[in-house]
Amino acid sequence: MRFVVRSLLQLVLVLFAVTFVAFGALNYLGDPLFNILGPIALEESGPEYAEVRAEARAQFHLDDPFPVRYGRWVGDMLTGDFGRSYSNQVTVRSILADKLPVTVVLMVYAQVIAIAVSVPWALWTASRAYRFGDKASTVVSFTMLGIPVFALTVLLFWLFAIRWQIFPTRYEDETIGQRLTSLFLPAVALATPLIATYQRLLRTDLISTLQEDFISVARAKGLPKWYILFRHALRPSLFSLLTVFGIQVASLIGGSLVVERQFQIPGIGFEVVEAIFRDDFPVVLAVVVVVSVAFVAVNVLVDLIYTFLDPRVDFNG
Amino acid sequence: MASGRFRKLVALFAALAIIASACGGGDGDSAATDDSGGSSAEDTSTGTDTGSEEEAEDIGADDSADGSEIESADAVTEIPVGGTLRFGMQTEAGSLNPTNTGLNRGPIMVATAIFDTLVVVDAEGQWHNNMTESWTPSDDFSSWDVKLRDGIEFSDGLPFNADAVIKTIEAFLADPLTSLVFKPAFDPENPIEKIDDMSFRINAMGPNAAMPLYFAEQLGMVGSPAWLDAAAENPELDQEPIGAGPFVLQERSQDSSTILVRNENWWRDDVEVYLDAIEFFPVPQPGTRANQLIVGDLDVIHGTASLMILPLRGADEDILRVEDNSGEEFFFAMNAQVAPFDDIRVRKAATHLFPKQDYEEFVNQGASLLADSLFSPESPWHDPSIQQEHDMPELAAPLIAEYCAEVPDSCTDGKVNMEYQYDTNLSNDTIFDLVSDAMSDHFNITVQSIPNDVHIQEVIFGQYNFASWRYHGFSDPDVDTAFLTCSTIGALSINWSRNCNEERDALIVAQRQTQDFDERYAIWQELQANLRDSYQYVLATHTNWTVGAGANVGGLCDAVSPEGASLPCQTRGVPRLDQVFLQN
Repeated sequence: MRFVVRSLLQLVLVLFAVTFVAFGALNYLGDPLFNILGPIALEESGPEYAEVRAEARAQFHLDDPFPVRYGRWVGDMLTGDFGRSYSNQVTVRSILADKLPVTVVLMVYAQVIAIAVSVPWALWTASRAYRFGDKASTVVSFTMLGIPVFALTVLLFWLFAIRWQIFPTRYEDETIGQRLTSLFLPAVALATPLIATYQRLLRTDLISTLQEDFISVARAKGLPKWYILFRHALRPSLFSLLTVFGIQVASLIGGSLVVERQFQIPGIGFEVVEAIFRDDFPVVLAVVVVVSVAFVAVNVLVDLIYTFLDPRVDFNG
Repeated sequence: MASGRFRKLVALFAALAIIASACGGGDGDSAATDDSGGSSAEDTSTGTDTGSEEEAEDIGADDSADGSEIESADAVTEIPVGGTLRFGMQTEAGSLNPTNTGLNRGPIMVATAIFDTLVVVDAEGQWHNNMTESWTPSDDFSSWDVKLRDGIEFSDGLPFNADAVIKTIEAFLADPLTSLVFKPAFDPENPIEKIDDMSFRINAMGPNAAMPLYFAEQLGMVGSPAWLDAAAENPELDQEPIGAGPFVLQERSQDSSTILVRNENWWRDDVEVYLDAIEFFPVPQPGTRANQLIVGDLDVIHGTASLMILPLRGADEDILRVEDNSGEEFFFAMNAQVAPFDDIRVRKAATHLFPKQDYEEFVNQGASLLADSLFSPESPWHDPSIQQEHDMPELAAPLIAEYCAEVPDSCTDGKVNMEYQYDTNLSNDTIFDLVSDAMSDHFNITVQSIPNDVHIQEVIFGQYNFASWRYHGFSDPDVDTAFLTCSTIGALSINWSRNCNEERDALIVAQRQTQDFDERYAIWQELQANLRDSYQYVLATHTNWTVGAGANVGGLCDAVSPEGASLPCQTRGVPRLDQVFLQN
């Protein structure tokens, strides 16, 4: 119980810090009235637009002090009201509802690929530590870590979508099969550095675990190698991987800005880039909030999984 | 043992390859279409002939993999009905309400399909009635009586009548931004008045023989009165426009896709709309757009960048390509109201420094025609004697030295301080690198790379020194004169360079009072010389609007006006889509 309360407090603190900084930055970097009205927001446009300017200032409470505006915005946000896009007057909530699921699917897809590839790979290399296969894997994993996501995205796009036409060049969503197919390359682009990271971490922890006494006992009992790896070594070796898994949510979102644009995926990454170009601050702020909540929530979830992996872990203690 | 591992690896890769191939979408197009347009138009208009030209090229249309002869669109006896056309647009719009936003070419295409237009313009630049029945000018062309076509309904069931048109035009003129372009053409006191339910009168700002042409695009898009009222109250409805065009909006998600479906009650009973639906996708990267067409993930695309045009020219697929060099110039506007470009010596120096040869070699690469005036060599208004000096740094040096000696506040270390503004995209980044490099011996350049909408706003407000820009190019140059006159300079100005020239104004008024082409041409020769000598633009290219279509697309050039006039395959990147069909 204490852990849940502490996690919630942590969430509130993170959200306060992030939203305060973001709201402040977006309000002081540029003129909000200009972003709402365009050129007629400026006094130079003439007195004939003075009434329009006054109405907009009143409607968006732009004459209120910053803390009041921030408080109002937070209050609205807590009721699910993120305001309207400056660009098209559509509610930000409906934009999020439209775009967020696509990005979530993409990130889950990337994580599934990353786990599906990295865990067997780490088990294989740990079981052959310091032999040729392990050393070759080290080279491969460092190569994967060294390729920036944007470069890999362009490379995959050109090779598999343009050159060989194995995958579509744009997002298609009429069927689940189409979604999974068209998201495969973007997910691989996002997953590639994760695969290498997870593999390196898990391999190291596994090698350490395989030297523990209880593994020696299992070996002495004549248990098969694969059984020892999966049943006895894997679970206690997952802590580092899990920790990084939570932290990587942020980097996945960062990567989605690039990947979604290249593959024309109508997700939150594509939207936030367009919103930044258009100075569409309500959308940018809402995305910041969503990302912050997701980041904290995933990391709380990771903490909970620690207790499942090792009952000795007690966050209430 | 090692060979066993190798076999496993090969088997794994083979399995992955099979799975991947099964998931991927192959391009199974086999049929090709040879669209040919441009049959002579029935002359029902009072417009002038400007003869815009298009180059339609069906690459490899006569070749097919199986050696069979590929049918042209004209030869198809039964046009297939149905299917969804996938269109890759260059840009997306914030709003689809033509009365309150300046629509660029992508959104204007969507809006044309939803609203249709009061008049249409044929390939020779002549206007024809579309949703109107007749346009009758007064003796001096200062007013026009317009009769609307009977029997048209908006897709919400409301009647299309004079009240609807007047409401739309009044909304246009009331909007602070869209009215900037159109307001100068109308009598400010009484721009439009109702005659009866199906007729109205347009009062021009002085004689205007070209007035109907103003209604061939955005100003000619009439919205349902109920929708206009609702959108005025709730701006979210700007995303859900209701018109009387061949298609109806079904679904829209900005930056993602806009889906239109066939309007079953479209007013045209002489032609059939073949497509079930059109899905528009904004694809900002020109290279990606071209590639998506070539691999078959899009059916039609449009754009202006060489990164899109050149791959289409080189594509070995059966890609239909229609190029239109007749409209829009890409140039650099110099703000004549603010230092340093308020001084003609600085404007001349910048013009002399423009590296047009390098621009052709490294940026344009033959994608568009280089420009010396507002009219491309394909235009009947073109005057070959009008040339703009470029690649002449030796002429710039003394001008800059003289200026800096006189106005030291605008210079540092003998170079003129200036800001170079453009909207952020890859092409413009490259152009900036090239142009700034050529100018850097004489100018200290501060770059301002900003979003397109902010760029437009700042140019309109005159908050710039030197800005890349694209405009002009309407089929009749009179429609573009609002961008050149003194009267449109103000706090918000559509005379982009804010360069007032009374002699030019007099010439503009003079050409507007006659429909005689030779007389007008002579005046436009003087106007072009005037523009060249005022150094307000550094002209780069006549924009090449290219439309590319896959081999499965037909009918792109088959649209006709209700009076039977053949309409162009595209107008500055905007094809009419009502006659387009998809073949398997």
